[in-house]
Amino acid sequence: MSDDLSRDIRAVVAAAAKDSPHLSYSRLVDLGWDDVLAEEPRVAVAALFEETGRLLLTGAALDVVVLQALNGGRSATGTRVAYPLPRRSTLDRDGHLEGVVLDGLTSEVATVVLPVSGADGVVLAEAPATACATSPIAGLDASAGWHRVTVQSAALTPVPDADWSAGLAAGRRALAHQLVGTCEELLRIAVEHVKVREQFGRPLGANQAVQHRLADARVDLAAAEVVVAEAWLTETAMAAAAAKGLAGRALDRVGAAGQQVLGGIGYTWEHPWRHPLRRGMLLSSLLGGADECEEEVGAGLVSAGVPRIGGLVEATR
Amino acid sequence: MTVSVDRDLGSLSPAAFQERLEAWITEHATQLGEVQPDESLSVEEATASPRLYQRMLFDAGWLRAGWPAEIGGSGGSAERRAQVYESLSVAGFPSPETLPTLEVLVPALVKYSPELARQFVPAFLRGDELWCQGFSETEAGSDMAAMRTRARVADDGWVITGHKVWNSYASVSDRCVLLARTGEQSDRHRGISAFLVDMDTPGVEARPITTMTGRNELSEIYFEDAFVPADRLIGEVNRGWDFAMFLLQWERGMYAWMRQAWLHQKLARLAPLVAEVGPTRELGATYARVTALRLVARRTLRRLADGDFVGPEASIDKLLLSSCEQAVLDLARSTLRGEFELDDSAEADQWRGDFFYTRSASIYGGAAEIQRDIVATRVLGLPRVR
Repeated sequence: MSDDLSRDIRAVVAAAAKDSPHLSYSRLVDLGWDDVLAEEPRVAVAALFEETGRLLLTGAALDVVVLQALNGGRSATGTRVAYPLPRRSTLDRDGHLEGVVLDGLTSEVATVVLPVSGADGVVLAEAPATACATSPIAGLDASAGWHRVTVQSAALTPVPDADWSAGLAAGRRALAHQLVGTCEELLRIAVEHVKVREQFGRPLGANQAVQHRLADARVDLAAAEVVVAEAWLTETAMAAAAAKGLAGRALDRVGAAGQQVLGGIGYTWEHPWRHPLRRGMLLSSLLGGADECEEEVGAGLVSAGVPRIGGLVEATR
Repeated sequence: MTVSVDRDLGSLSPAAFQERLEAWITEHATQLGEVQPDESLSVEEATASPRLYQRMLFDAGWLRAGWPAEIGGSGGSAERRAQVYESLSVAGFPSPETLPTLEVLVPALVKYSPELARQFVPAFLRGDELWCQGFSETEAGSDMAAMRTRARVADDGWVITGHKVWNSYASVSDRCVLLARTGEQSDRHRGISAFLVDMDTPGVEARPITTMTGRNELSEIYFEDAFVPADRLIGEVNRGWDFAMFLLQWERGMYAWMRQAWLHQKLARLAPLVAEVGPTRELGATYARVTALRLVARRTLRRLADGDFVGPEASIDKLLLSSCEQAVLDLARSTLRGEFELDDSAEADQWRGDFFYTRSASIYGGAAEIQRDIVATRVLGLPRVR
C-alpha cells in the first residue's frame, strides 16, 4: 500500500512540476498534502522531497513538515518558518533577528515562527508577519526563491509547549530526502554523459578510473538512502543528524565525481549539471551542513554512548 | 558448566526470542567471559576457546535457531541468529571466530547438497569440527575463474591436484569446501565444481601463513593426488560457480551483520577516548557510515532469509563494509596516537591487530576494485568494455 502511495505522490508531483517548478503551500494543500502527511508521514515526506530534490522544485513544503512536528499535527495555514542562517544562530542583532524563509511572505502568511538561541538553549518564538521584512537571496542559487527575513525582536513572543528539536529532526529528515533526490539526478546526468561521450574510440564510462569514481559515489548515496529511511523509524535527533550528514557527504562525493567525469562541458553554465549541483549545495547548508551534523553526532556519542540504530526485533519489515 | 537446552527457540517471535536471549546472556556472563579467546595466541593454541564458546551457544539452543531441523537446527528465520550475534556483541562478547566461515558455507551447502549438509553440518554447528574454504589461488584471486587446481575423474570419485591460498583457519580445520577445475581451463567459470574434502585425506597438506597482524589465521593448502569420494561433490559437476556466487551473498548478509556488530562495539570503546582527544567530527562521520552498513546488511540478510536473490547491489554492501572497517580502525589509530605505536599492553596489541586485519577487508571475499566494477557496470549500467 505504501508503495502505491509513494508512486501516486511522485506522479502527482511530477505532473504539477510540468506547470511550474514552484510548489506553493496552497498547491500542496490542493494536492491533498495535509491528509497524506497526517496519515503516512514517512512515505509522504520521502516521496515528495525526493521528487522535489530531483526536479529542483521550490516552495515552502519543508515548513509544513517542520510545523507538523512542532505543532503535533496542527495545520500550517498562514504560518511560515524562518530558518537559522547557515553557521549562525538567530541571535539578536541590534533589536532584530535574521533568518531564511524558503518562499516570499505572501499576503496569506500571518505568522512567522523561528528558533531563537538564548541562554537556555534554543526556544521557538513567533512574530506577526507585519513585523518581518524580507529580501530575495540570489547567492548560490537564485532560482531557489529563498528570502532573507529580518524580524523585530520586540514583536517576538515565545511559542508555548513547542520543542524546536522535534522540528529540527523532521526538517533534517526531509532535507536528507531532498538531497538524495538531487544526488540521484546529478548521478544520472554524469552516468548518461559517460555512456555517450567517447574518447580513444570508446565511451568514457568504459574506463575503470571513471567507473570507480562513480561507483564510490553510488555507495555514498546508498548510505544516505538507508539511514534517512531508518531515521523515520528511529525518530531520534541523532538518527536525523546522521542522515542529513550522510546526505550532505553524498552530495559532495557525487558532485566531485560527476564534475570530473563531465569534463569541460560540465564546467559550462548552460549544461544541466550546474543547476542541481548549486541547488544541492544550498540545501546541504540548511539546518546544519555535513560537518556540523557529523560533529553533533560525534558529540552525542561521546556524551551518551553509541546507540545501534535499527534493530531486528521491531516490526519494520 | 550447566546450560539449559532449548530446542524450540527458532519458533519464538523476534521479541520473545530477544527477551530469552538477553536474560540468558546476563545469567551466563561469567561463563561467556571464560570462553573469550586470547588473540595473542597462535591459531593452533587458540582453537579451544572459540570451540567451547560455540558449543556453549549451541547447547543453549541459540545457534540452532534459523537452521533447518535436518542439520540439527530448530527452524525459523536466520534473523534469530543475527539477534544472537548482535546481543552478544552488545554485552561485550564478540561472536566466536569460528562462526563467520560457518555462516557463509552452510546456507550454500544446505541449498546445493542437502544430503551432505544433513550428514556433516551437525558436527560443524556443534563446534566439534572446524571447516575452511579453498577458493583462491596465487593467480586466481580476483580472477577466481582462472583457477588451476584440478579434480580428475577417478574410480568412485575425484583426484585433486593443485594449490590453494588465503584459507582462513585451514591449518586447524577438519574439512574444506573446495572449488576445483573439472572442465577445461578455457571453460573459465563454467568448468568449476565444488567438493567437501576431509583435511586428513592423504595428499592434503595445510601450511599456516602468519599475517601482518602477527597471527597465523591464514593458510595455504597443497593437494597432491588427493582422493575425494564421488558423494563429496557439492551440487552438480561444473556448476561450482553458482554455489560460490550463492555463498558470497551470505558474506554480504550475515557476515556483514556480524562485522557491523563488532564495529559498533569498537566505536563504543573509542567514544570515551575521543572525549579526551577530540576527533568528534570523524567519530560522528564514521558512526553514520557504520549505521548505513548495519542497515544494508540487515536488508540483505532479510532478503536472504526470505529466500530472495540478492542482486549486484550486494557489492554496495561489500564496499561499505570494507570502508567502514578501515574507517573505524583509522579512527582508533588517530585517537590512540602514541599508545598505538609504543604501548606493549595487550589492549594496544589488540588495536594494532584489528587495524591490520581491517586492511584486508577490501581484499578478501572479492577485492574492492571488483566490487566497484560490479557497481559501475551492473548497478549504474556503464559499458563492460576492457
